[in-house]
Amino acid sequence: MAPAAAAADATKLSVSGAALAALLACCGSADGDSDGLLFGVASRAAAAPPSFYDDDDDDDQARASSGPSLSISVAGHASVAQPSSLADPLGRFTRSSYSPDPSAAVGFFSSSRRRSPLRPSMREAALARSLSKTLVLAHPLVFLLVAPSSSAAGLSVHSFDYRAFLLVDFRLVPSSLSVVNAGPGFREQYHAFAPESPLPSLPEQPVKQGYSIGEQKALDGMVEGFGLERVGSMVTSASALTSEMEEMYSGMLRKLEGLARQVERSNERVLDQSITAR
Amino acid sequence: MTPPADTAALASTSGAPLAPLVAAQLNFVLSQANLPIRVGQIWSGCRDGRYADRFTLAIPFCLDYVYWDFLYNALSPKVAPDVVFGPDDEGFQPLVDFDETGSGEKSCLANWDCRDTSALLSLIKELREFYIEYQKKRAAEVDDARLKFEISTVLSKEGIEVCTVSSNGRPDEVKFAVPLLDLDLAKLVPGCPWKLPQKIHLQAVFPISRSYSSVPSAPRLKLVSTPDLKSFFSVDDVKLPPWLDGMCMAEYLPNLEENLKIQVVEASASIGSRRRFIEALAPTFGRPLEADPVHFVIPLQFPKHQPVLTLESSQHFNAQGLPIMSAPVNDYPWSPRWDPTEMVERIYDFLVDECQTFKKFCSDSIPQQK
Repeated sequence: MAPAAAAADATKLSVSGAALAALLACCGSADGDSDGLLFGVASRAAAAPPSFYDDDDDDDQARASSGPSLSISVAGHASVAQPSSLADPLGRFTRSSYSPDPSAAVGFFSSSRRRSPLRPSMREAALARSLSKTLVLAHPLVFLLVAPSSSAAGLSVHSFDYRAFLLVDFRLVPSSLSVVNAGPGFREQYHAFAPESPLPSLPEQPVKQGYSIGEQKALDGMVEGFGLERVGSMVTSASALTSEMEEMYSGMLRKLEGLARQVERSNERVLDQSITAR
Repeated sequence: MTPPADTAALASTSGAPLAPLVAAQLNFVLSQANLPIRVGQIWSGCRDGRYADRFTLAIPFCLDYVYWDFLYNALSPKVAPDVVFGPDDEGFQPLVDFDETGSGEKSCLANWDCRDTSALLSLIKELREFYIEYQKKRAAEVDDARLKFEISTVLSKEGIEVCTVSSNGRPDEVKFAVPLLDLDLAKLVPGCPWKLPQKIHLQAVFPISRSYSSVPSAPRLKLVSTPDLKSFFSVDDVKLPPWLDGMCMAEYLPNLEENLKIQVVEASASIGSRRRFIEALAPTFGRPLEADPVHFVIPLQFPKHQPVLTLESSQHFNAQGLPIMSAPVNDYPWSPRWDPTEMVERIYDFLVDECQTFKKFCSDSIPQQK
């Protein structure tokens, strides 16, 4: 087996059923070709448990060389539903102004109606390399090639052909993609799941007069002096997170406390009135 | 190789017309390319399928074709097309090479102008050049000492193409297409109607030897000519010089080319002598000869080979109601050194006698049918 293929085999690539469905729906409803980024989590699983049996030496060597296996899980996608929104004609990654921040991406997808069995095109191959250089990933870049059914088949039935690739040694190597659905058959996957996905970065702080007076009031009422800047800076700077959060919660609790007291007092007054009325 | 497809017949499988800007570029390729490029399937990449915007092209390479899919986008006609190469060419990534060498700005893709009708042809030419280089590189990587030597000695020859032929994902042959004779063949044939440049190639297929001990076997050699050339010179009639043990192409080619050159020059001389022969036929055969037509088949090797004659009866018919024909005659007295008039007179004299034999043959064959 070629080393690249072995490396691709050591990587377990999965996608949640919902994320895949959303991606296919997006590709199928686009008027033509589209492409976009894929987001998700990559985690390095612990080394395989030691074998209890006296296996052949070959087997041990194979296990030792494969090392800890890597699992990449695709959780969602972002697309502007336009052809070649990610690359220039020479296949170099370009970030358009309205595309999401690519730093959390694990790869990209490309959707186009083709006739031949699914193979990366010359531009996709170049984009994979260019994107992997930009992202500086610790795992192989994921590329999902989607081919929606051709229009000749009629619009009532949609079929999709898709194939996953991993960029190993600058080559796109076909990889199997397991779809993770809800249900007893997939319980193992959920038990192994750890919610460690990084928070997506929030959009840049809009200019101050972005809110109407009414909106501003409502916001202020909700957060008691915590403006959007303060919340935004809380989310982006993780160090100050805990103390700031506690302060916000205690502020909210103080307000709740005040409200409770008010209700208590008004209740007492109502009670007094009803007593005096007798 | 077959001639280019009719440009008028560009219709997709679904019947949708090609997007106008794409059609203009494709028509330019089919009418202006000096290579016999053919169009395969045409289809649409849009959901509504209104315009077709992608197609497969068969592009000549190494005396064969490679099939590449060109994907335009009818919804964004300004965007340059993307290309999907053949299943065995995953290592062919011209854009990645651009990125590595920094030469991308020189590519026609860098300044793509969708209104330039020659844009697609420029792209095909550019990619085909890169593909030839890519295949040369692949062939040079083959681990076979004899092939390494062949490649190092002949690969610099202009216009040479080479490719590896794989079976089961492993290269087991290397195929060379060597252009022969640095002659403009069109100049040898006055008034020729050829649109594309005509060329004779030597195809040499070398098996890759896996063992170092065995004596490398001889390559399979074959002459291939462009189709229009066949009316002028048939490469199938050329006897190839033998390939001796331990020979290499650099030794073999000069001998072959010299040999071939003589035959091509003879063939072009033959055109003139055939014309003079036909002109000489008129005064003699213009007179009726027993009123029976005579058919002349003049070989390409004329006058070395004499014309083949067939007599056709105008009075006797076979059971199917067709005129009785004689067997082809090519064993009559002949010398290539006679001048055309003498050739014609000798044939005439021969036929005067032959007619009597043929008449008897016809009369004899009729009672047998009854």
